[in-house]
Amino acid sequence: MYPSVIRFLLLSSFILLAACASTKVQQEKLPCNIPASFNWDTTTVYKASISVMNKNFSGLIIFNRENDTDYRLIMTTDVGPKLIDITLTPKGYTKNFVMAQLDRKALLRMFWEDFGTMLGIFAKGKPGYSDLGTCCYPVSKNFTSCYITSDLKSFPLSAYFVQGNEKKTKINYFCAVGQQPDSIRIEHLALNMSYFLNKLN
Amino acid sequence: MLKNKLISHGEFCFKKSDKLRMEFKQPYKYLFILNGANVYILDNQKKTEVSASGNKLFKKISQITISSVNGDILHSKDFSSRILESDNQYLLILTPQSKEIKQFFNLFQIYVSKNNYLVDKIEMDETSGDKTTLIFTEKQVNVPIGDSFFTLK
Repeated sequence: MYPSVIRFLLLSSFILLAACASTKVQQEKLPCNIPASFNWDTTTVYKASISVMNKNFSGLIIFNRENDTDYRLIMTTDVGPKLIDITLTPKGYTKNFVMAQLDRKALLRMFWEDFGTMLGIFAKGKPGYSDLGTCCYPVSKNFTSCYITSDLKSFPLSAYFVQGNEKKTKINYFCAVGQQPDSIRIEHLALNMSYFLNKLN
Repeated sequence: MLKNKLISHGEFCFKKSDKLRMEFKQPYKYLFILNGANVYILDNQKKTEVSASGNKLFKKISQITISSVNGDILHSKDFSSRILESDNQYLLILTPQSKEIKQFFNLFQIYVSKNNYLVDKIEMDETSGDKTTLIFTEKQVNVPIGDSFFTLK
């Protein structure tokens, strides 16, 4: 009995030590980059359906590439008149035109986060780090945008906008290999809200 | 703002006195129907029905759309109007006076043919600096259209 108790205690101690040690080891975050991911055309037009609290809205969303990092986002009605025209940059957004009823800071910031992540503007010109199979880029304090690719090189299959450790928005890209996405689904995980974009040109 | 114009094609039907159907067919499908106080929208197989009578802005949009087609817009208090003419067209220049319309548009220009008094073109100058133009071609008049064409089944 005595040697077996000793063996049991030693084994328990070893397991306990090993468990403690493992909690102290930081998960290694390796550098990653997805440079070929976001070579969008100068102008890309999507037909958009937006569902908010089970109500549906539709219109056109146009992305105009201004330079390597900045994009102009334009939302229009299906019939033509413009509702929103903002420039998205890695640091924030600037208003070119916003219809009075939609001129809300929280809404415009949400568009910056969603479409900035979708377009990959936060991933331009700075290194990312791999985290549990995703390639993440810091956006601002406590916010990151993360991309899941088949090989961390090609166009992403999906993306997340993350606050702290909580995924706020999920983006799914549907595209042929090496092509821009034909359709994109953006879903707010905490809100009853989603967009579905279908490429027109 | 855009390097290339965005162009859509479709059909526009009006039945006296308050029925209108605007159907976009290319490059995307979108159907807008105005029937009296009701608005019906079909987009991506999703049907939406709105009662314009309960929504001030929708009611205003409905009134403007119908009155620009039937010509009553010249007597509307929502616009001040000027009429110019060329060899073959009248040009109606409408400047919004009401607050609701002013926030979207600076000016409407309606080009009417002197041949048949039908609208050739509507230009909408937006407050954003952009312009939306509707061009009417292959016009047909007094073609029988059933009332069911102005509802969503």
